[in-house]
Amino acid sequence: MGSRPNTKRARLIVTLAALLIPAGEILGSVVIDRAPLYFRFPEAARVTHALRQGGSEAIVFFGSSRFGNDVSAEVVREELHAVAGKNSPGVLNAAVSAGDPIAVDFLCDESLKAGIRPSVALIEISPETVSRRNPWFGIHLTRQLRWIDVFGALPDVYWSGELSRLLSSRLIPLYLFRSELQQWTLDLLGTQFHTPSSGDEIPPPHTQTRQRELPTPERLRLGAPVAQKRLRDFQIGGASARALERLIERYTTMGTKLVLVGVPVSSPYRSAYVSSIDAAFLNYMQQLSHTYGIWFVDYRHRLPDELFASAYYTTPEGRLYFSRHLAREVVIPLWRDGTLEQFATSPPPLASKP
Amino acid sequence: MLFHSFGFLALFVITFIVYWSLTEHRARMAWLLAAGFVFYGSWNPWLISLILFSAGFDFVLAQRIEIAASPGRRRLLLILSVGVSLGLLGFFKYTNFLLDNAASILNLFGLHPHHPAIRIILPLGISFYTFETISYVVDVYRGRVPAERNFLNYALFLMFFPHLIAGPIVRPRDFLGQTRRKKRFDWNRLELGARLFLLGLVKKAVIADQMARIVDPVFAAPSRYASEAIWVAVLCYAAQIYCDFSGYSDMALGTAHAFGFKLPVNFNLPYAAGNISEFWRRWHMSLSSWLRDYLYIPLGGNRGSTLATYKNLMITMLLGGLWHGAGWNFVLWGVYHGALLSTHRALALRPLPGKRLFKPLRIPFTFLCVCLGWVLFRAHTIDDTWIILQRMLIPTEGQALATGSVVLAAAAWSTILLAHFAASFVDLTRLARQLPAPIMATGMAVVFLLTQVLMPSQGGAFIYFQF
Repeated sequence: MGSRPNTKRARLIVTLAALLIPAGEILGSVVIDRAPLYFRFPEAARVTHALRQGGSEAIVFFGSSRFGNDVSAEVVREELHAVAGKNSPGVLNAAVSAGDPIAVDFLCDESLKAGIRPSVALIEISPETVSRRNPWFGIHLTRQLRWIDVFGALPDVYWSGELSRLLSSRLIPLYLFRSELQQWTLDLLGTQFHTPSSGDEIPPPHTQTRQRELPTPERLRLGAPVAQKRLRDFQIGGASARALERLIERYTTMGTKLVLVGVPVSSPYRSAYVSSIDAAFLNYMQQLSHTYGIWFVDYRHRLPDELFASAYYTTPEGRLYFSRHLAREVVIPLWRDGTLEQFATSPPPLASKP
Repeated sequence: MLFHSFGFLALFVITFIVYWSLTEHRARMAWLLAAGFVFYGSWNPWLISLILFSAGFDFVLAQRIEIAASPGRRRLLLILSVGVSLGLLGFFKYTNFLLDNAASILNLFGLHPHHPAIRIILPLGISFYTFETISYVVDVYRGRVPAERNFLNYALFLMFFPHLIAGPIVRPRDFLGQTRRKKRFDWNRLELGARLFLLGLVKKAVIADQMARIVDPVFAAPSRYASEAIWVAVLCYAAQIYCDFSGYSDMALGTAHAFGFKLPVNFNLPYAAGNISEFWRRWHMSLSSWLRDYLYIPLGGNRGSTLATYKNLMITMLLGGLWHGAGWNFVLWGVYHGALLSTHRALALRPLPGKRLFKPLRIPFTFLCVCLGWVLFRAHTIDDTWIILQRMLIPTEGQALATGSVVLAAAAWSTILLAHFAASFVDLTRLARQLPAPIMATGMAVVFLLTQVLMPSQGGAFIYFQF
């Protein structure tokens, strides 16, 4: 082995390195697939932990950052306490970012693995969260998908246009999860690395909107194109609908009372729910109600625009209002009577602030 | 499109496969030029026309200079070419700086003229390719290189994508010949290129970008920080700018090797320099030598009186500073280095008492001088510069850096010092060649994978892209 250039050696080095790099990445993705929940999906780990604390009697709100922002567990708890006193059950807001039925189904899996079964589950629902073309599918690919799920996810990857995300999550996981890997290493070393500008703690969804600007008509109007984009090629089905039906089936089999809650949105955002979309959505909700004996309560149009800070996040007053009404109209009757017979699914919207 | 992005990786892989699949030399050069268009066009496709204009103009003028019979006409054509190149650079880079300063001067006299802000996009790499076109025309004028007859070769000289945005500043003599020679695929060059690229990637993505996380907040609000924090931030910036720029150069050299091209080495362990003059022979070598050959020597160099030499040094470094950016901080940085070089020149030849005692300290002392210069280079305003220098010299209370940041800074500096020390005493290339191939390949793969893990989540563009 001399020090002069050697073509054979150089070819071996380049070829071997070119093979070892993808092999290392794939090995990395296998290891990351098996990592504890907090590594890829820390919010789910937090929610599972909270569910464990709450026990099986709890009333749980599952959903996305909208529920995280719009539902105050504290307000619901107070309302329940006013009716039931000390016997009132625990209330938990288990919302996570991009908490569509796929994410909720995953949380359902995790909670059932831990032997937790809520007594009442209220699940956020909207047309965009049951659409075949799921706008949040890329996030699921990163935080939930494993190699074993790849083949089954391919049609939904195609519909959601997230092929690059799938490839990056499978082929360059070390790059994609570098922040998590760094944090994990630092945790192992017991070192806290905080530069003055860093803020690596993910705030819970409901705190995010507190930092937003004050509501303006412009902000609300921005909701229409967002909703239109999310509802492009709307067709009920795909992984979201499958996940919804799967979780409904499992919860109802175990005796959990289930309510699908049409989450409130501002009128510009709602304008994207054109009649064909709305009809298909309501028809699907009706079909689920009949098939599984669950309830659908539609709050999508219940809040006036003054109660929105942005196209689909309520103001603090809106949050109070929505939480209070949801507690009085849905949670308390269901907990007390075990049914929602008296609930009108489409009451008129309020014209002004409560 | 940054070198350490997957977009660049895709461009490189496609360009590389097609380039070596083509059999015709001209087709390969045309393909490389097309890759340069895609690379540059990913920022702003319209600004390609500016480079092409500059290339076309100088291409034609250089030929006219070559065939011009009278020296007067040759000189006129040279002045025209250099004037247009500098005019374009001046317009895009210095217009607002000049207007701001003119307004400030008028304000001093109580005049407040309407001063509209002109929104001018700074074309990426304009400082680099302008110097390349100037060196080409000057070299043709001086008869050092023949005027290029093939526009494709000349366009590739400017638009070869590895050096297009931030150098190294290539010389026509070194590069144009390479565009004419038929390339043979060489595994050794590919391996060398891969090693260089990997080295640059580690420098940029791991060290420089991690250092930026410490440096940026401190330089954004220096008055909040304690003296210790300021010192750490300044040292981190010295590490950041070295790893960022030399990392870019290493990646450029490595990429060029993959296509059978050789670019000039741009850095040679600059922080191991024993004096400021040596520092400039080791730092951004392609710029230093350009300034020497096309500015300092034409100004008279050291051929005149001692005072004239100092004047030439000051002018060269001042303009070198201004080349980096349109701001007084760059002017001050240039003047500072001009003063250091003049002082060094004045003291170097004199027998001073205690000179021998000082010898072991010359490397740290040079480094300290360079670091003080980086404060001028990096601070946002003159006021910030003053605050930082004040806090460096007078112990001041304030916010401290987190232990993790200090540990990170220490780790980065240990790596740089170790690399400087090792490379000063050991022939690392020779050592690398002696390693068994499987170990070398595994090492390269592991380093590449680790680099991905150690990159910060928010990696930045290269510092020298702004120049």
